[in-house]
This record gives sequence, structure tokens and C-alpha cells, in this order.
Amino acid sequence: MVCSVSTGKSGPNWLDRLRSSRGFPSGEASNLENFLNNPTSPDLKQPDPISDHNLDPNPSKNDPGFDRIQKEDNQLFDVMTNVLFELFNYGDSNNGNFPKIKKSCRKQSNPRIYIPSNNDINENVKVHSEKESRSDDDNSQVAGVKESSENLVLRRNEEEGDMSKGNLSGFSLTEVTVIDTSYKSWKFEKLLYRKKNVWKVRDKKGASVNVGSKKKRKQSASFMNGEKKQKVVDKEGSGREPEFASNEVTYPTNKSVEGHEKVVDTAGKILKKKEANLKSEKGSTPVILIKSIPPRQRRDATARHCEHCSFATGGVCAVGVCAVAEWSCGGGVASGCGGGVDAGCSGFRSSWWWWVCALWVRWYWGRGGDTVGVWCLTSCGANVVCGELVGSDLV
Amino acid sequence: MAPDKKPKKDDAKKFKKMKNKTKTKIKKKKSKNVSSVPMDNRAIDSEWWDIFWRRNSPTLGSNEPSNEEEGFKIFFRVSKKTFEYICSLVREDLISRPPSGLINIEGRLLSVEKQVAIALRRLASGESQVSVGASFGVGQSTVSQVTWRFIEAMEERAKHHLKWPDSSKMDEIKSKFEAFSGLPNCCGAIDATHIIMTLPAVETSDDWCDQEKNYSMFVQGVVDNEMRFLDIVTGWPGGMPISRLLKCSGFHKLCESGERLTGKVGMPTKGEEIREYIVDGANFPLLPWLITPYEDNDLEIPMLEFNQMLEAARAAAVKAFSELKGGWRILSKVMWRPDKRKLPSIILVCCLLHNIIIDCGDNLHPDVVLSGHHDSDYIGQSCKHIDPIGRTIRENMTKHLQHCKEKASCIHNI
Repeated sequence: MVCSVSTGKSGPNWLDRLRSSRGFPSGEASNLENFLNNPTSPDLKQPDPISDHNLDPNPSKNDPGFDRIQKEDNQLFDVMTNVLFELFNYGDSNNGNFPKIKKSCRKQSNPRIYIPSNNDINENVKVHSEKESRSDDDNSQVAGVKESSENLVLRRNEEEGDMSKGNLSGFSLTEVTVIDTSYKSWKFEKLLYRKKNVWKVRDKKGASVNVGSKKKRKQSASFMNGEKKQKVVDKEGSGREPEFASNEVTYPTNKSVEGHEKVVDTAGKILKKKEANLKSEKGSTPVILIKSIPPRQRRDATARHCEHCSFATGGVCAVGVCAVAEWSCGGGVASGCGGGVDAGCSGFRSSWWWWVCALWVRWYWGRGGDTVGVWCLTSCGANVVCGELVGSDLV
Repeated sequence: MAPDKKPKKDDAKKFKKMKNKTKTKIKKKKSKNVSSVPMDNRAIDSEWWDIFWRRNSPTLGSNEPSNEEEGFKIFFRVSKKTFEYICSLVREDLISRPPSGLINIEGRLLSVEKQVAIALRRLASGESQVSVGASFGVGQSTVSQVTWRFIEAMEERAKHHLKWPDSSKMDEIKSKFEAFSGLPNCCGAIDATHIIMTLPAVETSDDWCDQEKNYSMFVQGVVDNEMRFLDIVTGWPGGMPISRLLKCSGFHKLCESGERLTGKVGMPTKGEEIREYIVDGANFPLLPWLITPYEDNDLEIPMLEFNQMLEAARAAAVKAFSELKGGWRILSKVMWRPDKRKLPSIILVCCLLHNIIIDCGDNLHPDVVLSGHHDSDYIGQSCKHIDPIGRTIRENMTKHLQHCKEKASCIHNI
């Protein structure tokens, strides 16, 4: 819980005050380290709702019938409690009524970035399945692991690694919208895998051929470190059953359309589930929220420093664009000038003109402006004269 | 256009009610009410053309056409008659109804004709949205919206202009191919071209980078003797080899599974039969249903003659793509960072417009400049794949054609 607090930037007095306000033992940093490594310390008074509930003196305990039932179900209860603790990561039980499960610290002492290799496919599958079980878990947010940009990339790699069950590891992936008049439905989306001269085509699960609906895209696609969040959700939904046709080239069928609808539903459910999760947690355990949202953003919606974009090292976001969370401030986002406009000005992002443009777009949208009516104040790269439209050359 | 349909229905209901309520009033003050409240703009609007012509005819310079009809064709690639037909196709989707309807600077609703004209001009000229907007007196945003609405409407409403022909129509196509090329049982010609674009420097897959180091998207089409597109596939990246492009197409699948090009014709020389086929250049693989020219250096005369015949038939595809990219210049200009999900739709609609011109008995104005080859910057790469059955069919055809030639010369001598 305290891990999100940047100790490097804050003074010890502040930390002590925080500890004392939260009921944690105050003292030297080494004690804190011990506390983190040994969450079962007797000094700790964890605000654990389950253990509190167990220890809570219940008037019905005086009832002899209750004692009898409790004794009979004691074993089962212990097992269930352990499972719950394990599942919700509330730490080990400090209730003396049932045996403790000795558990090593979940975190590595010296964490290193894991780069999946081709040989680690099986390992990836394991990690992926674990992740899936987590995503199914209602309390997956409780784990509260702050996902850095590396983590996100890693997750994507893992998912792609999982997708590569059909010998697709090492392939680059391109999503294409194809129109083929030989089929009954002319338009469909495909995933194109390429490794040098080897090209493989797969159906895109959860693909939508609803082109041109900018409003929908705005609503569903939130950008995080240059990766569309929607994609991650889609992959969560689609990655569970990575079914590939045996042929290299697969064709759209009614079956795949049905699958697509199912996947969309699944993705929607997951989103709703997570939203509900977040809301419920907001009321009960605000500390968890501190973990999942960077402190600066939580405190000030117009924070100028971005923690999600590639300009994290001292970069300044255009009027806290990223804090709005609907679009990132452009770190690796293909949406360009403030997002929403396809292609955009990401090519000249390093130029200060980009910031001018991003500011202008934000102002324009604030006035209820239309995305297609957005103009750039300067050239957006090579061969484009001053005053050209920001975004697509097409409609 | 799907999202717009519901509100339109609601609007229509509202206006029906309004009409009923104000029926008596309208009767009394007919002309005044109709002009002040634009209830329905189904009436054909020709005012836009007068304004457009006055404003833009001087821009044609030395090539100024003698009359407005020709000028219309130069600007929009279609005759006024074809234009009206296109308007009738998309009228239901483009008709402007308040309050959601598009309005121009003067606050009047944009007529369907003007919207179609804006979209056609944008596709035909490939000029920027700003330039096109200026020529019509509308803003860039309007051009953008109108063009995309038109494309979506055409995708839905003009599908019947691009379809694989039925057997009777195919017989006609085969006989015409044989008449001008000499190849029997030829059903069409296939070709592919690159639609070049620029893409953002970051996060762009190399898959779109083609052999000439351009970012491009492929469009592959099968055409008939009249250069009408019978089948197209687009959306695949330009970095893909043509053989792979073909293999990814539904056309390939249908032909391989025996669902397309299945008709046969007897060959009098040996009593053998040859299936229906299409032709193309050496950049496509030689297959039983796709015949390509001989490529060896030391070709015998019958082979050379066969190649000539094949080239004559193949020219239909080359010319069709030249007309497509010359007539609808949005495809031949280097597009600046297009939305790769929308670009296939634009290509498709250009193909549909190309077919509509042919179906309406129209043609491109001679002043519309066409390039010699649709992919002039690309060096043709020969495909080494040769299917053994395809090779046998090609040899049989060569023998058959040689036999026919000898027979004809004998008759001539007699």
C-alpha cells in the first residue's frame, strides 16, 4: 500500500506522519522494509475486512448451537478462509484459529524486466493463464500492481506470445481492413503476420467493420502509453480461445461473425465488471485507488507532468491532456494532435509546434468543436504546406 | 450511415406530423411556406452547377470546353445523365433533413446534387479538401463529411455494379475476348496496382512498405472485355508479394475450390477440354485457371504468337486500372496519412464509379489525362511459380491456336 509513495521525493517526517496517520509503526526505513517483507508482524493492525469479521465478537457465539456448527465446519472454514486470503491477496491470516500458510514475499527483491523469448512459449502460456484468472477475479484490482509502461508492453508481448501458439512467434502483426467482393460480406478485418517473406493471415477476433464511427472510437478507445486500452481488453476477451484455422489463409465465415459478437460481449462485460469493481472499492478501500492511479493525477486533474507518456522524464503535457485519461499526451499515440484525429502529427511531436497544435485542439474541443474540422497551425511533416488539415488526408 | 438512419426516420415522422398540421395553411400560402421551410429537398437542384461553372470554368484554361456538358464531364468524370443516376442511388442516404442535415454557409440545406458533386470532385481531382471546398463555396469540414457520407452510401447502394457475371453474360464476355484477342474461353484479365500513401514515421509497420520503398495498399481486380471490374480485393499492404495477394483473395479460393471459372469448351485438335481461365502478366503465377505468358528467352514462333494474344487480352486489365487511377485521381496521388480502414472503401467506390460509367454507356472525357501504365514506377517482378497443370493447359492452347491458324491459312489459300 505504501509502495506507491515515492520515498525518494518525500522527507522522513512526512513518511512518519503518514505511517502514524494510517496506524503503522513509525520508525526507520529498515523497519518499514521489515514491515513490507513480513506483513504478518504482530505490530501490524491490518484493516482486513475478512479477518476483522472473523474476530468480531458476535452475540450469537454465546449460543451453544452455534458452537457446535462452528466446530463441525471448522475444517472447511479454515480451508475456505485460506483460499480467500490466497485469492484476494490480503496477506496471511493472523487469526490464530486456523493454521497459517507460510508464504514467501510475492515481490522479487530485485525485480528485472522479463523479455520473453521464443523458447519461453510454454512459460508465457502459464503466465497468460494466470493473468486470465486474475482478470476473471472480481478483486483483481486488489493486487494493485502499478503497471508501468514496461509492464504494459510485456503484457502485450505475452498475449502475442500466446497468440503465437500456431508458430507465429517472431512475426510482426498488422491489422488490415479488407474489401473482397468475392465474399457475401465484402468488408472484414484480418490479422496479418509477417516474418520476412512469410505471410500468414488470421481472422481478427472481436474485429469491427464499423468504419467511420468516430464517436464510438472516442468512447471506447482510451489511450495509455500509446496503446489503445481497447486493444488490451479485446485481447483479454479474445486471447482466451486463440483458435486458428489450419490453413495459412483463412476466410470470413458466419461462425467467425458469431464469435466476434461473443467477444464484444465478453469485452463489454469485463469493462463493466471492472468499472463496478472500481466503484465498490472506492468506497471501502481508498488506499487501493492510490495504488492504481498515480498520486499527482489523483490530486490534480490538471497536473502538467505526465507519467504515462514517453515524455515522462521531465516532459510537460499540454494542459494535462493525459490526466483526462481519454487520450494520452501523445507518447507513441498514433492519434496525433491531442488524439482523436487519425494519423495526426506524431511525426513532428518533438517540435514545439506540436504542443501549440495540441493546445489548440484541446481548446477547440472544449468549445464543442468537430474533430474533422481541426486545423493545424503549421506544417505536419514533409510535403505538407502550412495550414493543411491535421490528421487524415482523406475524409 | 447506419447511425444516421434512425434519426432520419424520426425526423421524417416529425415532418409528416408537421405537414398534416399545417396542411390547410400550406394550401393557402403555397409558395411562401415551401420556400421558407425546406421540408424536403427532393427536387433536383441545378443551381449549384450554375454557380460552380461560373466560378470554375476559367480554371480549365486553354482546355476550356466548348459547352457546359463537356465541362461537366471534365470536372466530375460523368455526364449529367450518369450524374443524375448516381444521385438517385444515394438520395435516400444523403438527403438533408433539418436539424441534422448539412447546411452551407448561407444556412440552406445542401442538396443531394451538390453533395454528390462535392464528393465526385474530391475523388476525381484528388485535390485537397480545402481546394475542393473553395470551388464549391463550402468549408473543408463539409467536404470531408460529404465525401465520407457519399462513400458509405455508395458502398451500400451501388453494390450491384460490381458482381461476377452469370453464365449467359459470361458467354458474351468470352466471345468478345476471343473476338479481339483470339483466346478461346477467356473470362477476363487480372491485374493489381499500388495505391501510394505516406504514413506516420512512428508506429508504422514495414508491411506497408513495398518494393519501391513506398507505403502502399494493393488493389487487385479482374476485368471483362469492356474494362468493367468483375471482382476486386483491396486493403492488403503493398509490401505483400502479388502471388500472396492473389492467394489471400476470395477469388483464388473460389477458383481453387471449383466454384468459379468452371465452364469448359471443347478443343477440336485433340478432343481435349480446357477450363475457363483469366489472363495476366508474368507477375502472377501460372495456374490452371490463370494463364500467364511464356517467359523463356528462346521462344518459338507459336509461343510468341500466344504471348501476343495474351497481351491483347491482358491489356483490358492494364487499361482499366489506368482509367481508374486517371479518372479518380485520389487514387493516383500520394495520399497523406490516410486512415487505412477507410482507404479500402474509397478504392471500392472509385471502382464502382468506374463501372457505373461503363454500365451507363458513358466514358471518360478525352481530355482526362491517363498515364501509360497504372503502376509506371513499379518494375514488374516475374513470378516463378508454375503449376504443372497450368503449364499443360497453356501448351495445349498454344497448339490449338497454331492449328486454328494453319487451318485458317489453308482455307484462305483455297
